[in-house]
Amino acid sequence: MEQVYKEILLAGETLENRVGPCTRELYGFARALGSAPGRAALVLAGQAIREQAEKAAAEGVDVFAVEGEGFLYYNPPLLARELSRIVKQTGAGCVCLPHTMHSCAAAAQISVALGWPLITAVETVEASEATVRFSRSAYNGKIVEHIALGREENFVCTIQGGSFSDDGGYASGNGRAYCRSCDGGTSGFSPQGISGAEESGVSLSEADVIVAAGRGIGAEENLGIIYETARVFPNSAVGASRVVCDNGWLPYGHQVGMTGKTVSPRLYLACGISGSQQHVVGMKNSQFIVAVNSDPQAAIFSVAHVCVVDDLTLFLPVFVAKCREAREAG
Amino acid sequence: MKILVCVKEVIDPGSPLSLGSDGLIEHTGKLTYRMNRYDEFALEEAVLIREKIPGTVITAVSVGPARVKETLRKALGKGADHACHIVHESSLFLPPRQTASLIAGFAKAGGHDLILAGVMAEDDLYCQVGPLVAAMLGIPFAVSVVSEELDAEKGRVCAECEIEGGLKESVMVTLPCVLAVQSGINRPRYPSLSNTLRAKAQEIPEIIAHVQAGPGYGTSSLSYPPEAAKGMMLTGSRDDMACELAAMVHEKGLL
Ligand SMILES: Cc1cc2nc3c(=O)[nH]c(=O)nc-3n(C[C@H](O)[C@H](O)[C@H](O)COP(=O)(O)OP(=O)(O)OC[C@H]3O[C@@H](n4cnc5c(N)ncnc54)[C@H](O)[C@@H]3O)c2cc1C
Ligand SMILES: Nc1ncnc2c1ncn2[C@@H]1O[C@H](COP(=O)(O)O)[C@@H](O)[C@H]1O
Repeated sequence: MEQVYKEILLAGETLENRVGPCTRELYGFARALGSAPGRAALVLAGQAIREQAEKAAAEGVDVFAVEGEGFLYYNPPLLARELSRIVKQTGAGCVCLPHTMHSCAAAAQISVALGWPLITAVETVEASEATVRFSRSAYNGKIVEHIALGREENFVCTIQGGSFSDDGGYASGNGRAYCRSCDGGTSGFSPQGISGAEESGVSLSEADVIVAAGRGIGAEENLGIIYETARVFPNSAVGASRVVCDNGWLPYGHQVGMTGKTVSPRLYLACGISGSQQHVVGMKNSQFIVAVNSDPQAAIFSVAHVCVVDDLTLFLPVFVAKCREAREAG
Repeated sequence: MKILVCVKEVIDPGSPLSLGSDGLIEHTGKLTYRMNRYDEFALEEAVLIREKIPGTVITAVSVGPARVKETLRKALGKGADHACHIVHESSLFLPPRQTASLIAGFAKAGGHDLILAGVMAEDDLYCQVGPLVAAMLGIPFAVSVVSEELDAEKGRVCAECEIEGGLKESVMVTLPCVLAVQSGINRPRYPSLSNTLRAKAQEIPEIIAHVQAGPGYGTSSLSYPPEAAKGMMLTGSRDDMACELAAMVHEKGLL
């Protein structure tokens, strides 16, 4: 294969030969880093991914496609192995992946294989002459961590979903797709298949209003207040953070977030939810977000349009009464 | 079966965090510390395996300053047989590769069949140490494990790994391996009285960590999120706030 030099590799995520939507956010990261499109390449690994690779190349970015049986499902060790090879082949000094659990695990392996610094769940990046500065959340968003690397340092990073814009072009004339195949897999790890989410019977997607409960409700008994609040609104549903479902207070069908449902109701009322990135990616596109939290530092207040610092067990009953009054008053 | 469980002590994210003028978290008396929640699930999974496979020995390991001994005692109380403290006094988050290399260094000599970690630490949110330890030891791993079935005879684990949107991938991993455990895999138990009493007296060996600063890790600092990002804060009494919010939702035609 001819020698192609690249500065940055963007590792798209594919599952059953479909390219995940987070791929475009990788372009957003490369743009924010100030990498010219000609210097970046998208990497797509799949069982039969040539067509997808050519489609992406036609949009104007070079694509390295790797095909292998082991890539039908997520396969972090195999992805890491192939990405490390493409790094060597292209001389790239940066590998960027989406911050999903599987890509993140591949990132760890690449970092060890290449001995490169590793920064995960990146939300912003800024390159200057001497440094590259990253920011990311800690403590569920209450604190921001800033990490600086020397401009010349190589690195591996994963980007937090929703942090980098997924629109706007990223093209350098005609992209090319370089396809090759790879052998089966790495020892010791083999993906067997994918199973779907269980049918839940909870229709969060159709609701105009979602009243969502977090750990801050304190006890299962307090779900009553959440349901009572939901009942004030004609077309409403009750959502939950993962913790509420892990505790067995509500079935997983109610969970909103990265590993639950993605919703965008007209009103999302977050009650006792801290605002972790994993929750926020599932609800941040709601039209109107109200958060009730007793902690003025809670990160959910950075996502909410309207913030109420109060104990939800005391605030919600008053709010319910005021809503009834407002409706009766017309 | 020899199982190593990686247990991190974290500041309870619910305690009032404040940054000093040096940009570091102020460890004042107001902070409370506890076991990273994901590690509670990892530890419980180890205990469940021991219930199925008698003779299993569980060691909990933690990297951190002197106070993490308390969390290791909790781990003993919850059922670990042994604990080991890798002492490292650091005022900021340790880069995940350094933490992982300390744990991998300890694990190398241990001959563990299974290493369990949490999927993520609640303070730094890196999601890295589990797979890094595996990569450093050159053994396979699975992340976001929401159920596992260990077949000791065949020397392998069948695991279900959660992926985005609530889907699951089933994977087969050979022993020895690392599993990064996701919340919800089990219901962690409370420490038992007898274990807690035993834990009080049990010796926790220390290993003094030698980490090298230097290139390859970057420099890190902390700040508060920008105030400007915050939405509109309602003010006044509870009644006032409730009234104002009710008026808003009414105006939007939601009632
Ligand atoms: C791979 C992965 C995937 C994940 N996927 C998801 C997901 O899909 N969805 C999800 O939600 N999480 C998910 N999580 C978990 C996520 O990281 C957080 O742990 C979780 O969202 C926290 O839930 P919470 O906000 O209810 O609890 P906490 O973070 O504990 O927050 C509780 C909040 O309640 C407030 N509070 C306490 N008492 C009161 C009171 N009386 N009145 C008002 N407020 C009060 C507190 O101030 C605090 O802010 C995932 C994690 C991982 C690692
Ligand atoms: N200092 C530590 N001591 C022991 N285990 C740790 C430490 N830091 C991280 N871990 C383990 O690695 C997991 C993931 O942490 P992190 O990569 O920091 O998000 C945690 O759930 C722990 O199981």
